[in-house]
Amino acid sequence: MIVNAKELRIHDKMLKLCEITAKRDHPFTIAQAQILGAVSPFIASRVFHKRLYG
Amino acid sequence: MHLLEAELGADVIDDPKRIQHVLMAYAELMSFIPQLDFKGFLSEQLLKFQQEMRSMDRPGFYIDFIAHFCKYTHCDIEGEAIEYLENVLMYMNHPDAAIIEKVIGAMDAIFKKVSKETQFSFVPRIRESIEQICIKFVGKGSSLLEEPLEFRYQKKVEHLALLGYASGVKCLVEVS
Repeated sequence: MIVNAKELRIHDKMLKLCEITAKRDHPFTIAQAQILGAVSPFIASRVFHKRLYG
Repeated sequence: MHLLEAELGADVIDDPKRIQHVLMAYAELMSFIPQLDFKGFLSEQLLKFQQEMRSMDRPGFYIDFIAHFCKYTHCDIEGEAIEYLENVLMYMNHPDAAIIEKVIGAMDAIFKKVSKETQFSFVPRIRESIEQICIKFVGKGSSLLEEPLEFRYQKKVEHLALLGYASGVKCLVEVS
């Protein structure tokens, strides 16, 4: 659904690139870590309130 | 957040360069947590992170984190800054020069984030931290000499590693 949704904001799509899932079996790459840092201003306010970004 | 924390707390660090990027992503994320969440959630999270890094003997991670967090956070950290400073100062005589440089960076970030009044309140704590690292209490003076020295102290270290750096001295002088 996230992949196909055209109306998603750019940072939602960037988060998708970071492959954030509950059971993650491989570490973040440098690129993924940099993307996470870049989208932090947009997602930080939801960290403690929205499970998706937890 | 939990995924980033899990990587920072992993038993083995596979790639120091990669983990530094992970640490910066974590610090960036925490820096943008709004003031609304600071008093409860974020403070607890920072305390947990500090304890975890200390128990895993990874002071560099915590110090780098605090330097970044204090520099960029929009939260009011006037009340908590002294705690961050104490946590950082405990490594000011670390044998690793890289850690000392990180300590100086973190101290600088903390000092720049708080008001002059709060900086003044740091002075006695800094003195206590230095005393704790540099000297030890060895007892009262001799009764034969009518106990002329009320307290006697002995040096624990030759010199404080932090003061081996011009930037370290400058950092301390600015606040005191």
